[in-house]
Formats: sequence, structure tokens, C-alpha cells
Amino acid sequence: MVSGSTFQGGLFSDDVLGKRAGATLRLGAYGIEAETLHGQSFSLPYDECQLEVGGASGRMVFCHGPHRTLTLFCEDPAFLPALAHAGHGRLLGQVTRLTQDARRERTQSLLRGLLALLVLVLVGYGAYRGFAYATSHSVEALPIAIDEQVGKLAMESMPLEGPKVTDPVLVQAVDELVSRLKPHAGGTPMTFEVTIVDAPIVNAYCLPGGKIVLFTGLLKAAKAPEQVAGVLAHEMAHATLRHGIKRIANSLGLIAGVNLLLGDTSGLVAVAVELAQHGLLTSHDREQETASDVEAVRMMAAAGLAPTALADFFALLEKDGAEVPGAIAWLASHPQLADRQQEIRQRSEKLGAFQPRALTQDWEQVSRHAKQPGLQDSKP
Amino acid sequence: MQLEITNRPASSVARVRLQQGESLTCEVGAMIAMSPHLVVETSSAKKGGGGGLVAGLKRLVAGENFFLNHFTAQAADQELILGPGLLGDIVQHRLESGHLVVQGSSWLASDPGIQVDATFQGIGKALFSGESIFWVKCSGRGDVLLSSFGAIYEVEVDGEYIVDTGHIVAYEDTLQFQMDRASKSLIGSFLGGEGLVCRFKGRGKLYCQSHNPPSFGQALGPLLTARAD
Repeated sequence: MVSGSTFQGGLFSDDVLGKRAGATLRLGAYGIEAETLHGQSFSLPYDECQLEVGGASGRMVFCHGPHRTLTLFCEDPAFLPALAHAGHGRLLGQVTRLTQDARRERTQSLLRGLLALLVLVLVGYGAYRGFAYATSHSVEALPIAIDEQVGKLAMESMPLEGPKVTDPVLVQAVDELVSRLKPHAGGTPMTFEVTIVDAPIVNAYCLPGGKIVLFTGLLKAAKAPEQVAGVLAHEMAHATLRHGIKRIANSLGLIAGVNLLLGDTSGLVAVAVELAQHGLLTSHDREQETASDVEAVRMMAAAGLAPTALADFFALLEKDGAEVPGAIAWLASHPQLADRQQEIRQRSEKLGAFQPRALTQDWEQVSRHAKQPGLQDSKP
Repeated sequence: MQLEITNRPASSVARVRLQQGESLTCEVGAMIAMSPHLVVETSSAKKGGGGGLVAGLKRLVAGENFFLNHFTAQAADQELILGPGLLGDIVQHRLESGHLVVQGSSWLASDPGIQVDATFQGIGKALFSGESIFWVKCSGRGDVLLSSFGAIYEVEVDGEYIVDTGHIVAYEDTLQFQMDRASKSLIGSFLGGEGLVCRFKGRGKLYCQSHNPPSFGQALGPLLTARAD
């Protein structure tokens, strides 16, 4: 059945011009017959045929004659199986060996390729992580003045979502909380500046350098001043732990990142403005949120305020989240509330007893003014 | 078609004489000068059809141009002068059967019957051979003109032959190559400046170039003064 099959291929021989010629190969009864495109005929008996697989594709079959004076070759995938059956199976042993070798080579080649790819991916990932680690830690060496500059630019770039509140009741109440917490803030001393914004949003955020924005919606939702103090401590911790500036450093491109490592902060400032405009500067990852919670617990206890107040506020939002207007903003930017409450309570327990020092503010009055900033109280 | 290659090897040009009705397919931008009765047709397919969009895209990833220029003589004895983009050599290879594997950007021109396609040589070769990820594959019957950076030398391989990475111009389909260390020791290979090399096995023609553009760029780069903004 195989005898007489023809394949397009070629041959090497000193008897053809240029020593190589295209040829039609025919599997005869006793050997392979080849006829070049110029009409020259050659024959290679099966008994003298040495098979080899190679070529650019790795799938070309070579049939070498004695002393390699004549070599026939063909890349047709059907050629090797046809050779196995040609001439009453004289080449079956060689074909079987070649097929097994080719299969083994393909498997090894695939494994080598996958290994190379894996190494590349790992090296790439390692380089990325190393670069991110280096840029993130290079931020530690930057002066706080950079945070303040970035915070100021970001504040100018971000819409406030409402009018600034100048109601002295609210301003004084918040100032008392910040004044109580500020001496216990860690890291390099910085100036904390709170802007109260009249908007029904239960949220607060802190920009690099200590610029905090607090919405009246949060003051309305809180049941006690300690809860607001807990939120403020959490936001102040974002600033002292320099989370905002690290967030920017992680978003830097390669060139800006290398420049930062070399001390050029212009790229950092540009990215900060870009992130601020898209509202991304105040979103932090889980690790940063936890670190801020832990720091807030420490600050609250040191300031003589119940460290669990932040967890109480989370519980309030979790319980009444759907009923508290604007709570969705906090829930969106501060996920995993249940886990964090547990963490805060555990940390508070570990700290042990603290010396409580009461706040002087009238919380009922603050709540009334939060609902209606600028309210004229009927009694002093 | 008559072909004469002059000014070899540094500033080679191919002087092609076409008779009426004869055509030559060239790399975009390869034409230096030509007689007035040659018409140029630009397409992504080979002359007379075949290939098209997919072949064009494959050529593109192989380092060649998406388009091909087909020059056809409208009168007798029309002359077409071709040259490579960089200083270098040109050789003519007669393709009778099978195919020729050409490194990206070394294909300069070919007879209209030659199909210019792209082929992937495997991840290892793509990463370490110093050549493009995809290579140009010329198949069919006819002449192929190859260009290089520096001089081209031809080797008739019969057994094994080793070429440094970045110096391959083209090789016949009957040759197989693998990436290998220059010496037995991997560290020694790199300390010796050779690093990885291309080890060819089999029998067939191999074209190599005396220089390679990346090495030239690395040597030249530090000597250039910074551009004033």
C-alpha cells in the first residue's frame, strides 16, 4: 500500500549542481527513488538507509546513504510513518527509535520552555517586588515637608463635596479631640489640620502631611465623641505612618521610581496630583488600614480615651449601615469591618487598663450642630 | 532578471535589470533608484495574491514591514537599484526547494514566486539567540536577496558549526540550531565575553554577518553627547 507513495523533498549529492536539489521522493519496493526538478534520478536502498530527524523545524527526516554521498530529506509529516511500512518494514526499528527520540525531545523541549518561562515570570515578579519595596522604603528617608507639599497640592486638586464648616461648636469640638490625640501621634511631629465639610457622608480621610477632611455626616452618625476621636486617630495614623506617600510611591512608573530612588521627587508630586484628581489617594490597602487601626488604639489609650471606641463606631455602621445615610462611603473605603473590630478589641485588651480622662464637650450640642451647622442655640 | 551586486561588502547595492513584464518583490524602503518605466505596487500579499493580512502581520512581528513593494518593468531593460538600511552586505541565494530561514530585517528582496512569511523558532531561541522572536521564512522557487550589517560570509555546514548570537543572517531548512554555552563552564562562557552561542547541526548553507547592530549601538552609545532639550 505504501510502495509507490510520493513526497516532495530534496537531496544532497555531489552529482547535482550546488550539491542540493529539490526532488520528488518515491517509496519503491527496495528503496527510495528520487528525481530532481532537473530530471536527475537517484536511488537509496532501504538496507543502506540511515535515518535521522533534524532541520530547522526539528521534524525533517533525513535518509543518509553509505558515507553520506547521498542524502534524501523530506519534511512531510506522513513521510516517516510511510517509511516504517516501506520495504516490508526494513526501516521499522529505526523509525520506532526516531519517533520515541522525537517524542522525548519534544517533551524535554516543552519542559525547558515552561521552566524558562517560569524563571522569567519569577525574575520579573521579584524585580517588580524589589523595586516596589525599594521605592516604598525610600519614602521613609524623605522629609515630612514632601508629605506636606503633596497634601497641599492634593487638597487643591480634590473637590470637597460640600461647603467648609466654620461653626465654632463643631470646630472647637474637633480641635479638642485633635489636641488630645496630637501629643501621642508617632513618627516625626506634623501639623494636623482638620477641615469639616458639610455633607451627608459618613467618612473622613487624611491626606499626606496631616490634612484631614471630616464630614458632618460622620459627626451625626457617631454616638459619642470618643468614636469621632477613634476615627480621627485612625486618619492621623495614616499620615504619621506615611501611607499616602507610600501609596503614591507604589504607583510610580519605572522612570519616576528610579528618579525617586535618586532623590528627585517631582514625579512623586505629579503622581500625587493625578491620584488625588481620581479620588485614589485616600484609598488604602488592608495592610495599611490594619496598621492605622493598631496605631489608633495606641494613641487613644495614651490620650486617655477608650481605645475600643473606634470598634464601637464600626459596629454602629455595621448594624445600622443601611439606615445611616451616607454610610456607604465609609463601608466602601474601609472594608472588612467585622475583622477589624475584632482586631481593635484584641489590641485594646492587650494594652490593658488605661487612665480615662473625660472630654469637656457637650456631645448633644455637637450632634445638634452637626445636623445643622451654624445653629443658634436657645441656651448657652 | 539580471543581478549584479556592487560596492561589497560595506556599502553594497544590488543592481537589478528587469525585462518587460518581469517583477521583483522588495522590502519597503529598499529602493535607492530606478528607471522610469518601473511601476511599484504596494500590498501585504505576494505578487499575484497569497498571504495578505495575516502574512503581513506575521512579517511585522518578524521585524520586517507589513507591506511589500512589487516592482514590475513596463519596458525592456529597466534598472532597479536596491540597498539595505544600514551599512552592509548583500548576497543572492537561489532557492530551489524547501525554505530559507532569515533573521528579521535581513530579507531585502525576492522573486515574485517566493512566499515571505514568519516562523517562530521556540522560546529559548527567541530569548537568547540575539535575533527577533519571529524569523522570516522564504519558501518557493527563485532568488532571494539577503542583507546584513557588515559583511556576509557563507558557510557550507556539514556536521556542526558555531555562530555567536546576533551574527546569523539566514540558514537553510536542513540545518538545525540550538542555544549552547560557548565553553563547558557557564561562568567561563560569560567571563570570556561569548556567553551563549548558536550551535548548528546538519548539512546546508548558513549565512553569517561580521557585525551586529546591538553591539555597534553599545559601542557607539557612550560616545554620544546628550541631546540638548
